Amino acid sequence: MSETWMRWKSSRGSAVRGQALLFVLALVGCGGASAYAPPPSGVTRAESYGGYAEAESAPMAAPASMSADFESDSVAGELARPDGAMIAQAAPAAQGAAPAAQGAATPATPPRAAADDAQRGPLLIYQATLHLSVFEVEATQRSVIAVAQELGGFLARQSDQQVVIRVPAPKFRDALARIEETGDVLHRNVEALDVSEEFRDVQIRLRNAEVVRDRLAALMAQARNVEEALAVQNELERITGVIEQLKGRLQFLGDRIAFSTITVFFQPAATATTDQPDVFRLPFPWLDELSLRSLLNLPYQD
Amino acid sequence: MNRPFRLRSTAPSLTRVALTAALAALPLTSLAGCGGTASHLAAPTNFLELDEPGESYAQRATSAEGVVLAVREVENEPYGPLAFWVEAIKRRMRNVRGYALVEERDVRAASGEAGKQLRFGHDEAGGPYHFWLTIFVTDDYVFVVEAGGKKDLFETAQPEIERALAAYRID
Repeated sequence: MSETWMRWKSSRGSAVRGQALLFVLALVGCGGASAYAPPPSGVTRAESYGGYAEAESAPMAAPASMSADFESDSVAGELARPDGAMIAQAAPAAQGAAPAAQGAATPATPPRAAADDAQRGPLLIYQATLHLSVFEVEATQRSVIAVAQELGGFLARQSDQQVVIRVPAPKFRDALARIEETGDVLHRNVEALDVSEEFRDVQIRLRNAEVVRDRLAALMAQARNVEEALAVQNELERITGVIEQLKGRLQFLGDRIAFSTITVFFQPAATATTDQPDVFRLPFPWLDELSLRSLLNLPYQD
Repeated sequence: MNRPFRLRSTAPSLTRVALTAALAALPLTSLAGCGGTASHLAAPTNFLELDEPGESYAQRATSAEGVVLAVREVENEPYGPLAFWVEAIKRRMRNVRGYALVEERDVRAASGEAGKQLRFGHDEAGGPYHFWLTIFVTDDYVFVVEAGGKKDLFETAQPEIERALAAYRID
């Protein structure tokens, strides 16, 4: 540090100061300079979540209570198994963790205690999208929200055609199973997004940025004139902004990891994406005429 | 008790009683309101048959509350077995229209044909409705008996509807 400061003091041109700043800044982006830090408290380090580790998308067959026939005419449909094993997973590390504790996670301040968890496996963000039939939507929405609340989660967004809930990651599978009981599931998409690399990268960049900030603060204390102080101050402000951004990103990732997102649509998947493999138009026009509207559209009688 | 369409409960007279008896004895094909029907559905009490020749339905009748029963007869050409048409209808209703398949039942027509009943539910204009499709297949025709209406009204009429469906006959 003192050597750097001496070089700073002895320099008379901006080029030298620029070199010193470059040296400091280089530390920020030096990804390999620090050891990997553990994930923050409350961030569930997922042990192999079984099938969830791979994205799944499957049109749903008739309700199990009515038909054990889970066959589908789409390749994706083959992923589904009648016993629900498609989404079987090992118990997450924090299976017994109280939801409240997870909700209070502060990802930007990783505790050393989580170091063991960090070695276990990937950091995964679980997301699911369900398309439920359009029948008794209000009551079904209430049931979905109740599931979230009972499992320690919360309602994130609600409209006429959709409801979005967040549930603690260890309760993800349980939540999905219970939601599927509330209505006729037409289509389901489950995916696990591995953010381990990004999480570690952001952590390292944050640590390095904090080191740089500390060094700049030391330089600031040793500034002997206004010009020097302003130059360091400008760089200090910039590095502080970077630190806040990195902390924010860590907090966002930690929140997404700790609480899985489940979006429930009350509309046929075909209206959302017309290329669904299970939507096939047979060449029999009368099939298209089958509907309540056709039946109830009564003609005037002479 | 089911009774033929178009019987009106007015003050009895000898002529009217005789006419009623004659009507009741007529083949039920006359109830359809349009020629060429190959099946017979005796509508529940208080349902009126609609006269709509050339329309999609071989028969259609409605209650005063708007619960509707109808029969659709479609040529089974090219031939498809019951399982084919049931699966095609099920997928169409669920995946494309978003109807909930609430229940699925094996049924049998009064004339002996095996069929399948798909009980759907769907919200219309913000309210829940029932929509039942009962499917029978012969070598020549696919018969789809449709019943639908607002949930609470439909459930009130449900015993009568079930009796009518149980009495459904295919020639």
